[in-house]
Amino acid sequence: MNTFVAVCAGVLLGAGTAGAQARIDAPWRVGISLGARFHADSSVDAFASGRSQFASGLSLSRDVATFRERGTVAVDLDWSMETLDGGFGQAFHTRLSAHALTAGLSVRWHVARWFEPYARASVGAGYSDLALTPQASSNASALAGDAWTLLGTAGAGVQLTTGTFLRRARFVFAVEAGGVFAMSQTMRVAPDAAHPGSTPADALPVGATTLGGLNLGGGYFKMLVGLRF
Amino acid sequence: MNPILRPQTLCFALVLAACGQRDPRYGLSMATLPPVAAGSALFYVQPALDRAVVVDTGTTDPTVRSVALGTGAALAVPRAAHAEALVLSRGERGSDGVDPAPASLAAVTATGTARRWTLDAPFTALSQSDDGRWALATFDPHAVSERLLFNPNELALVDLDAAPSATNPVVRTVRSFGGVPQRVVFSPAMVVAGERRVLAVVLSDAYVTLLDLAHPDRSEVTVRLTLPEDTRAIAPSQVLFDVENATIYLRADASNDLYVMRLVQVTPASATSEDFRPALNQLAAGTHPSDMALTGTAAARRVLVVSPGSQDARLLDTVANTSTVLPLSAPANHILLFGADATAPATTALLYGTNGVASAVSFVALTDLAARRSLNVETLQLGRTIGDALPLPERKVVLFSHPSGTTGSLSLLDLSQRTAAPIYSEASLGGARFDGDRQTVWVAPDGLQRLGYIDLDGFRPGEVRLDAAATDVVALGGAARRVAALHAGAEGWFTLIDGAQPTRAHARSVRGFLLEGLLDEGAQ
Repeated sequence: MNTFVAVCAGVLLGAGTAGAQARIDAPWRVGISLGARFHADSSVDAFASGRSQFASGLSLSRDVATFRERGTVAVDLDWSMETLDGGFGQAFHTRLSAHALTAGLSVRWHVARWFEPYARASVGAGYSDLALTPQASSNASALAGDAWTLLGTAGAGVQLTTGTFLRRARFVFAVEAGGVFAMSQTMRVAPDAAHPGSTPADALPVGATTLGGLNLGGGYFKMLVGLRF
Repeated sequence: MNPILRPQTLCFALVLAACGQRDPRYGLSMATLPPVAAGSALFYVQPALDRAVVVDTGTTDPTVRSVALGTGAALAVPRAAHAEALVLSRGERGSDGVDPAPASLAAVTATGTARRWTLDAPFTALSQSDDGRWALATFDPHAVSERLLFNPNELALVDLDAAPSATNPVVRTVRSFGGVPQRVVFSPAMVVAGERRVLAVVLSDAYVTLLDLAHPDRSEVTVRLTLPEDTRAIAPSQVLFDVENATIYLRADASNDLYVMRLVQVTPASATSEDFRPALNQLAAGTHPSDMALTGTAAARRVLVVSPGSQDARLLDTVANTSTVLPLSAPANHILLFGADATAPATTALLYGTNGVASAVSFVALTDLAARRSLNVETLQLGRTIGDALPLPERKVVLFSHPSGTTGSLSLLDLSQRTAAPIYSEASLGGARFDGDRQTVWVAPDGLQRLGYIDLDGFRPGEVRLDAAATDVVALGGAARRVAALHAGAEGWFTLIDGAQPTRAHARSVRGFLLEGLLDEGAQ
């Protein structure tokens, strides 16, 4: 995880240098995103009552180059997460937290000063951790596990930009939709030692249980509100 | 801002608009029938999921397999003399959007394979022959039918060693005199009318039905135990078979008589008639006879009966129609025959009374009993009433539990020495189990995170601390001597304990196996 963040930070810092050379006005953009994830795989059904879930995230991007006067190329670092609360088997409460950290490349086209359609692609890592808590009152601890995966996204959207304030700052609003392509995560769970009142400290050895493959691929839609400067 | 126009609200609206359908399988109950131990495997049947999860503990790491079953599993039992589980499924009667499905019987192996026989009716009870070849599916008169109409005298005979076919299972309706089958007992193979065969004895309210498994196409033989004008339901409850003499002994809970059916050869009236008929004899057996046992050789067969109502035991000669009455100091309702060792003929009978009727037991020497009568009876006082008993004649031991307020204590009766060793216990004997080679008795007290055991070699008790309270303990077969302490938990959880080294250091927890492959199920 730390290596991945360092690589992404390096990309952004390198992009910052390149952007300065390109003299792009207000090249940075930070924003928060709210949206939805639409999961295609039935493995998600174990953790939620539906295939669509609310998702949120943070984004930091930097314009790095222009082309044909109206085109802009930007790199970005994007973190998003979704939390699925549910249950299955009339026996377990479930909580699945899925994080995605991606480095992306986008191309915007200046139709107008305030209106820019764009396309974006990214690659990165996904991290999911889940907890299965028995519904019945018992002294059994929860089962928990986590896993990493590789993922990529491809999407398109439009970005609306306001006029300047505070010298070169602008508000920005973007709407984007696309697809998430993820490798399946093999989820394994074991008794959660951190669970309160759970198994004793000297609990008997127990092997992990393989739940199977969790695939968080599907579609996404998000709205981003941010600031360009 | 208008709440409706907030970005998060808009996102949720989009989410709802694009909702995919959840796989309904994840909404089904994961509840299991009581787990079944057979061979080295544990079988967990999940009726709502139409599957059995088989955990084979015969390998270093337990192997988990999922086996598809028929719809509506209602009963799971170990198959006699086989490392398999039998699962009776009632099928689906059908409803709006749900297709009907037939009832079935499945034999599930530890390796995750299943053989399935389709049944014509949603039976609720299952009986097996001792060798595990035959299974008879019937209706439990106390079970809920879940059908608009059903005939409780219908039954299905399944040859478990044969593949499903047009003649397997055999479905038939047995003759009734107003009663319904209460229980089925299979005979050992015995020669009747010059032919070796196995009989299924169906016990009804006041009559029994004999089914010849060697000729399932033949009519059944029905034997009334009361006169036609007698409306009593005498409730036949115990059946013994004298194989050498082709004779069936029958005891009924609500009768003071013993019924002896000698199967004699006759000329069949038709091709579908039986070639034998029972010659019925009825003998007085004291007041409320509660147990019986066969003694003697084939040439001089006797039946020993205990009757707590008259506080005596009787030795009946069913050929000469004579009886020898043995008054007992302590009432008894059970008989245990034992010999010098496990293979020797029985020479002594232990007569004991459970459920608080007695605090003493009687040893009866069977040799020359008719002549010596009470001289052959020796009484041993235990000092406390007997609640329950676990007999283990092959190890010459009987374990008694004594009710004592909220806790109980135990006695180990040494049949050879005729001594009773008290063992103090925080738990009752309820649910106690022997391990595979019957060397250790295990007790899983309800609600306690401990498993108690008594090594029957030296009568040494001990306990193993568990990670959670055990709901039951079961013995596992296979090469190693092991038991499994079962724990509550929808994920599937048991503690595997080495019977040869019953310590926590030699125990391991097996947990979560009902969740194995959970995320891959939706795609099935």
